[in-house]
Amino acid sequence: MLSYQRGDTRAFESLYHRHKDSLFVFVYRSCARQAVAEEIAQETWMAVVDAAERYSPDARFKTWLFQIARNRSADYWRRRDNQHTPLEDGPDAPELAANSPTIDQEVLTSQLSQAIAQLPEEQRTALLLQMQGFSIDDIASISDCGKETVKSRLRYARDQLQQRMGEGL
Amino acid sequence: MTDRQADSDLDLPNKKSPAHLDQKILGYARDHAPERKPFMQPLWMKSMAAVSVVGIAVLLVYPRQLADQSAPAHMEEVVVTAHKVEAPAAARSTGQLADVEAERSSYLSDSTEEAMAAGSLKRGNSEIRAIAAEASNNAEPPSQAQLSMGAARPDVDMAQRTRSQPETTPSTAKAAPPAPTEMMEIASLGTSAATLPERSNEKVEPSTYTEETVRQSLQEIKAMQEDGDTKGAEQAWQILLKQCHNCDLPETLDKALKKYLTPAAESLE
Repeated sequence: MLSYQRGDTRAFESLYHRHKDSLFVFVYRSCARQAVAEEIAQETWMAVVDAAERYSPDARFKTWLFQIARNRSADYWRRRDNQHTPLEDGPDAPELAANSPTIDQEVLTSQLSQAIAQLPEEQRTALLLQMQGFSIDDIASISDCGKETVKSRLRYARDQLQQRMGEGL
Repeated sequence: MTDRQADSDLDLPNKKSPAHLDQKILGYARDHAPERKPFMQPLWMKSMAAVSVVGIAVLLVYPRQLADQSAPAHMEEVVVTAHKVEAPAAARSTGQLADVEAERSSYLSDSTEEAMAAGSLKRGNSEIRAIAAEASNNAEPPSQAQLSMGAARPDVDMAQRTRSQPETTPSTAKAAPPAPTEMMEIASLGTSAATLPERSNEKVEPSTYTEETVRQSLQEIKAMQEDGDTKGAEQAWQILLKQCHNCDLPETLDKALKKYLTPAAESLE
């Protein structure tokens, strides 16, 4: 990022290829819609480009990148003004893989995606960030809250998922 | 299995960033890339440059202020040095000096003749002739040694004297009378009037000779007599007579001593 700050565009390309997929997965799981995920991912990377001159390496670049993505996702959910998606506007159906072992697994994946999408925004973000490999400290930094708060959110999120998945099953 | 492992094992759709999104974002990054800088300029380099500029400015300004403050002293030194250099330099031209001396002597002769014509000198003709002859002796060009002696006196502004001498008239001459001690030194050396320093040959304003100075001179002459130097005393008396010809001095030294140095005369005054 510091190289890009000095005008090296190749450095940005390298940085982008390193983090683009993990970011897109995080955004997609947050909103569960391809088009929205693309929009949020694009906004996130553009914000990185625009803030490149002001960037200071206070924290890991990945933490900073996901902090921007999380804020953009929060803006998206605020715009929707409803954390619970209606049935007709539900998440994209999971793509059926050619070598999918069973139909039950696909159903399970779809139910899990719906269950995550129905979580409160803070709990969902904490859960998805943990799934991306971030530590409690990083999640606290990205979510701009304390570590205990993160732990509490993660506990509530797992409880709700277990409850909904159990009901579904 | 921990909670984190359980979350990671969740079978969620693992999407990848689409290619068209990549191109769009990379294009945007290229278009909005920060300007390439030749080299990094950290904050400390900028502050170092600022401090250096200030330091150089102080170094340039502060010595100049010091020089301005000490300028008067330097100027005085320069003026004094220039004055000291000017006098010998002006006197270095020996031909000019000879002209000056000849002019001065002729002036003395003229003044003596004027005095004779006016009858202001109440002395015998023989004495007047003696003084006139003595003055004419002064008209002889001074020797090289005398010139160098005059030139070696830095306090004598020869250039100024050369300029002002032709304009001098007997009534406007402002030269100071010779100090009695100096006169005595000259007399004790037994030198002739021609070898005396220029100051003894200068035209003297009669009014500048007060009775007190005449009395001091006579006291010196008397002291010389008492020391047995009658010749020197006589020469000093002649010089006093010549330079103070309007002082109404008696004809002889003895009379002058009686007139000015006896207690009776002082009490009468």
